[in-house]
Amino acid sequence: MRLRLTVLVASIVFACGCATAPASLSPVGVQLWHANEAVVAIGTFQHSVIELNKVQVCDGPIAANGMAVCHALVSDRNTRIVIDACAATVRTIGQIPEGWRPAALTALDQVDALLDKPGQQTLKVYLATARTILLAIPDDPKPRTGPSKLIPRFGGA
Amino acid sequence: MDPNLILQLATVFAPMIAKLFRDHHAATGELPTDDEIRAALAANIQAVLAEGNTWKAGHPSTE
Repeated sequence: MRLRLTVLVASIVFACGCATAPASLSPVGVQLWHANEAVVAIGTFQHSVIELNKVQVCDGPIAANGMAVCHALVSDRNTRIVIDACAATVRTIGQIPEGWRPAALTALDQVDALLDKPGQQTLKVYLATARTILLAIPDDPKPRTGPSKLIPRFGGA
Repeated sequence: MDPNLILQLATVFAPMIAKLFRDHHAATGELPTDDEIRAALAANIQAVLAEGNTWKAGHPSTE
């Protein structure tokens, strides 16, 4: 189990690490590249949760008809929380690409806080993986500063 | 945590990211421009919003 998780995280981090921004991009382009990676990570997290919402778990009590009571692995309520948070995050990144990291990490924290206990338990590893991916994206390049101005000298002869 | 969930995560999550990243690099073999990255970002944002809206359309809120 732990091995599988390690392999999974390593493969995803590796996938991120390979995606270094091309040299053809300006500093703003590199920033957009990183923002795009964050959007892909958030989108993939959302996609995973939607897929988990389709999974039915039949571990409830046996009903009168002899069938076990089933429920979605991730409830509709929890899925909606994730979708709303992801939508708000990608909209924010679209408007302020340079704020991709705080926007995405804050969204994951908010999701974690809003989920109910079963949701937190089920999505714990998914949230951790998404966070790992976001933290693996390199920092944006520092904005270029203009040529340094010469310090005027006073009191010269 | 059910080990099958981890496998599902590995099979769904990682290849999707890898493919999207490869797509950025690939295409014409030329290095992407700022405008192309800007367009990719806008397209991916719309894709995330569309997937969420599609799910919500099929699951109307009862609250």
